[in-house]
Amino acid sequence: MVFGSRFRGIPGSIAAFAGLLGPPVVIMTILAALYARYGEIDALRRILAGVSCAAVGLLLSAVFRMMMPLVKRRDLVALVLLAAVFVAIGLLRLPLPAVLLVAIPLSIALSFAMRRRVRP
Amino acid sequence: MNSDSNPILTLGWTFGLMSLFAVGGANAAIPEMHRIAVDVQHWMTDKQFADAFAISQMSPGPNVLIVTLIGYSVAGVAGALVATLAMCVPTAVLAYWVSRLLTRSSRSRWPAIIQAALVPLSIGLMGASGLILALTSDRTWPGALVTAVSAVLAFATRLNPLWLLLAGGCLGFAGVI
Repeated sequence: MVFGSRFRGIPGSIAAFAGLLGPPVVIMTILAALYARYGEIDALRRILAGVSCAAVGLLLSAVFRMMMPLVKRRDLVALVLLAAVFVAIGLLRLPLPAVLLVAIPLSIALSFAMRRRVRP
Repeated sequence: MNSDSNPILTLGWTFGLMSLFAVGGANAAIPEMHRIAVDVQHWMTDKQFADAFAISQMSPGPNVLIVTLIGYSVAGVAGALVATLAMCVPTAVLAYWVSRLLTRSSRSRWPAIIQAALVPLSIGLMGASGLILALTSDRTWPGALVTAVSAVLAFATRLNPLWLLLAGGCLGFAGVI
């Protein structure tokens, strides 16, 4: 979308947006309709249960992969922030806007302070 | 949150607001989607939410399209369209303005600082997604085992993720999970 805007301004960005999103949204709507109609079929329920188990594994591996650089750098501040967000959202189930309105300014302030300390 | 009000309007403002807080992309917003769709609005059951996640991961296109499935389950095709647009348009407009701002002030240190500050938050949110989805999906020990094996294989090998999803589907079909 950003590229579309660079080439053709706002119409370009709208065209890029629609072109990127249109076809997958059509496919997804068809799948949603199929699920609404056939979702109760036992075989489909079992297949989807299996797929979602595997998909959760993929998500977890992505999380670990992204965490590795922080662990290797021993970036304690980042790891504590990470854990705090995980607890607030995953365990306490607090609303996302409330958590981020605290976490984003805090994290920006901390990384600004850290950077000043490293490179004065 | 008036449940008597028009569900399409509720979808619109819910996902419109959420899209402004979508730090770390769709997979980081999943806890909030689950909280609203299952716990607050009762649009879906846990099982339906896990299924929607599975379908959105298997399908082509960005993972954010799980909102299309949620929208459809609330209000059919109109719900699907409203949810998708409400989730994607504000983010797109924001990306547009931010990119303009960045090209204008490319010498500033702020973009790098802000980006670095958002990384741990995104990872924490994605970890919370993993936890919530594991609690909804892995209802049996074999299911949890499939999740663990798929996580290890995806982490340690360069296997195409689609094979893992396919294998999970086959195991589910066979009645193992």
